[in-house]
Amino acid sequence: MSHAPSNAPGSASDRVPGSAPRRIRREGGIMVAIVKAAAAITIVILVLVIGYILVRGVPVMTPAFLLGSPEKMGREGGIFPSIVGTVVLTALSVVIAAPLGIGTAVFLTEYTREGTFSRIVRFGTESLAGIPSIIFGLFGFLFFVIQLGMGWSILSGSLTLAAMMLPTIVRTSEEALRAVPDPYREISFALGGSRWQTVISLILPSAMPGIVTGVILAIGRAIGETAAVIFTAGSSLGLPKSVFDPVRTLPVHFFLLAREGISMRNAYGTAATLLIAVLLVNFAAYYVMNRVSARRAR
Amino acid sequence: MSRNERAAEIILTVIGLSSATILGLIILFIFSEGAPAFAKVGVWKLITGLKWAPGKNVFGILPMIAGSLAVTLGALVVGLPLGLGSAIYLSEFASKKTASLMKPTVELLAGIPSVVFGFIGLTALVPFIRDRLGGPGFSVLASSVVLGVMILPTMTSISYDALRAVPQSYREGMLAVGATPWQTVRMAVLPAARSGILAAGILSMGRAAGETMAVIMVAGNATIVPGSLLDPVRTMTSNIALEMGYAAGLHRSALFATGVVLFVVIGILNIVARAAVRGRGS
Amino acid sequence: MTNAGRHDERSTTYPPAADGPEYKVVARDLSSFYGDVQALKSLDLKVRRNSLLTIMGPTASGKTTFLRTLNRLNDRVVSARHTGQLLLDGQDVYGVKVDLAGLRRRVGMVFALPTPLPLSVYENVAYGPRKSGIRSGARLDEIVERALTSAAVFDEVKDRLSSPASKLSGGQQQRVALARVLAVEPEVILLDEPTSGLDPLSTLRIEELLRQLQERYTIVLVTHNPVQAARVQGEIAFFYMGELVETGPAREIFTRPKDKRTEDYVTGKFG
Repeated sequence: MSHAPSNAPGSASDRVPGSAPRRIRREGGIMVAIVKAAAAITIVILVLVIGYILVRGVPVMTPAFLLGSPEKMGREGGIFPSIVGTVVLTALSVVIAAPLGIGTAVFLTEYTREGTFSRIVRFGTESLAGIPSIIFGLFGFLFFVIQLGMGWSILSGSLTLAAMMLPTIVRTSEEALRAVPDPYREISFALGGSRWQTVISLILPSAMPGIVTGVILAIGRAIGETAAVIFTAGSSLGLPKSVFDPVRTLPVHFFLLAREGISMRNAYGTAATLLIAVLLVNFAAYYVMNRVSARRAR
Repeated sequence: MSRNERAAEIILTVIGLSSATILGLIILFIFSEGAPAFAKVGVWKLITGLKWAPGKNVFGILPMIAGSLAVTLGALVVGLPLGLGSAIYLSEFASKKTASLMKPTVELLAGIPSVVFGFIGLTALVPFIRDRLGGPGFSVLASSVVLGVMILPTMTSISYDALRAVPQSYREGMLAVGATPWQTVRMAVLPAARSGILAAGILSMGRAAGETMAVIMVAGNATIVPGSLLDPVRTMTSNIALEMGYAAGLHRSALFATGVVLFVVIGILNIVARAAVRGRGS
Repeated sequence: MTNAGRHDERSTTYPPAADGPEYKVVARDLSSFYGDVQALKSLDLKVRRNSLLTIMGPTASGKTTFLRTLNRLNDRVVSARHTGQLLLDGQDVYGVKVDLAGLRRRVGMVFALPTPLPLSVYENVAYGPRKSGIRSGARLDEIVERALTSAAVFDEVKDRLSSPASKLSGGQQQRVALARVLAVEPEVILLDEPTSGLDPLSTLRIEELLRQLQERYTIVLVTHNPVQAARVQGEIAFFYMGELVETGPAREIFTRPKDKRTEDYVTGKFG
């Protein structure tokens, strides 16, 4: 980060050489203070948001709450089914999205050059990235729940979430793959390695930290997703027994409690659980990225 | 060996097409569900109709379009200065240590679920507005603040990337002729990063326009064109989410038609954003 | 995506190889292009089996282009194309049924930068054999040791075989790179300015190594340094701006060059 000196030499004035007029310096100083304030406000917002939820919600997160079943439509009792449902839903989404996303990235970086085909793929990925979650929810409802007859289920929800996670995973994986030095590829080919062998044994392992970080971050977003899930996985409170069962994930449960306004206590507890899960996932991503790049930078 | 190679190539090609396929399916299904409403009510009447009354089979989504527009612009008013300011600070004035602390912070903010922001808006901001400023509290103002905070990370990180992409020589050149740090930013860096920052703004608009859950919690959901900041409002997204659960027939199709309009609007925003970045050559 | 031999079929067809079996590599009327830029102009060059040919010349003479056209690494470059013929043991390198991986094992390449793969020393050398299907641990051990020995680096790394190859010195890394190539049992070894980044001692060691290896392999060494070409003392081909100016034994080229350009180059007037 460049730390610019505040009095650059060589100014065109006949005052003391090397100083800009005081008016300009003060005006500049004010602007710097303003942007500094903006940054500070951003950080304060984050702290306040997290604090607001955790302060009121963590006390609610007793073992009884986390492991207990919901009572009275979730206004009392625990949130265990939602925790299980969220975990299973997210895990299944990753299992579907990661191979598709990483595969698309490999296809774009290693198997095509810039041409019509890659432009179609890229257009598809970038467009998908901009589509709002409610549209995904509607699509998932029409296609998975109704057309393919899966009903409101973990499966419908996971497929929909996987479609939402796809662009993120493609983008971060592509970045990670492009960061692998090209000489590695040349050397592998020169030694008689085929394209697929080169990708599997050399390029993918090298790019793995970046790819994993991207996947973990995508998981973090998926955990908090509400609009798409509510229309595809339903909002039924029972403990799901198979992927064909509906489920009420943590953010959906939280949303419904908050709108109803009856059990604020449980709402805060659910929110805190959700937030902590998101924070843990984010920290996991940083850990992976930093630990491996520290190891590499030997 | 080369049979494996061939298989890998085919599989990867198919996988590569998955995004485009999904996109195609989305467009197909959403548009075809919305088509009946467009046909029965008429595209023009649907989009410009001022009254939304499903009970009477009256479907006009202009109030919702106005609502989306209002909260999106409001979000920009809140989020753009904060986001751009933070990005400028991060890129041009922060020390390495501060920057390394701030970047994860911004990314963390991006990961917080929208329902959390909506909830805080509901429990803290709405009562505040109701008590101090009047109106029901559920308002354009509340939505703008909540959405503004939500687009903050997007605005910051894309603007930051745009600023970082400006070659260091621009800054050095300015400093060498005696400019102050701020003059350097204002006269050399910002203009050079203009297209990237523009893209950041447009993409943030897209995000705000597409947000559903947080808006439902603080906007008030009245199907009227908002007249003031304190008026309650309904956006296209909340229109869909609120009524889809029980809608049937023409009503349901009209909701999907709302989805089509939303999809087209955001699609245009994204295309413009991408063109802004490419056209100016960043 | 490989462009599987961008071979422009222009008007010329070439008679079957009339060059004798003592020539391992033959280039006939070979012209290489990157888009509209011509990098090689009608090259006619014959490389004797089990010999050491040094291609010398200033930058952008087409030396590297020739190597990369031979082992078809330029298939990766979108704008690369060529006309003319390139034969390995009398067979067209760009023939329809050529097995690319097999070709590149027969014609190995050592690059200017040692670039160890992000693996251990052992795995670097075992990389090529593994990719060609060899799985047996014992066989790989044997191959790795033999290759490292032939590259005159085994004694220095034998206790460090499982540590990362990136920890070796520059000269060691380059010899390991050579071992990497030797492990796939090539017939031809191409070296593109292999000592340009190395210290003088490592440079001499590698030059000595190449002189020994020519008994078993056909070696083509590219260098921009005429002094190195003189030291190595093999057959020399002088490339200048895409043209083959002159060939001959080292002593001839340096004492009695036939072309004025050669004379200027070896006396240091340019390059």
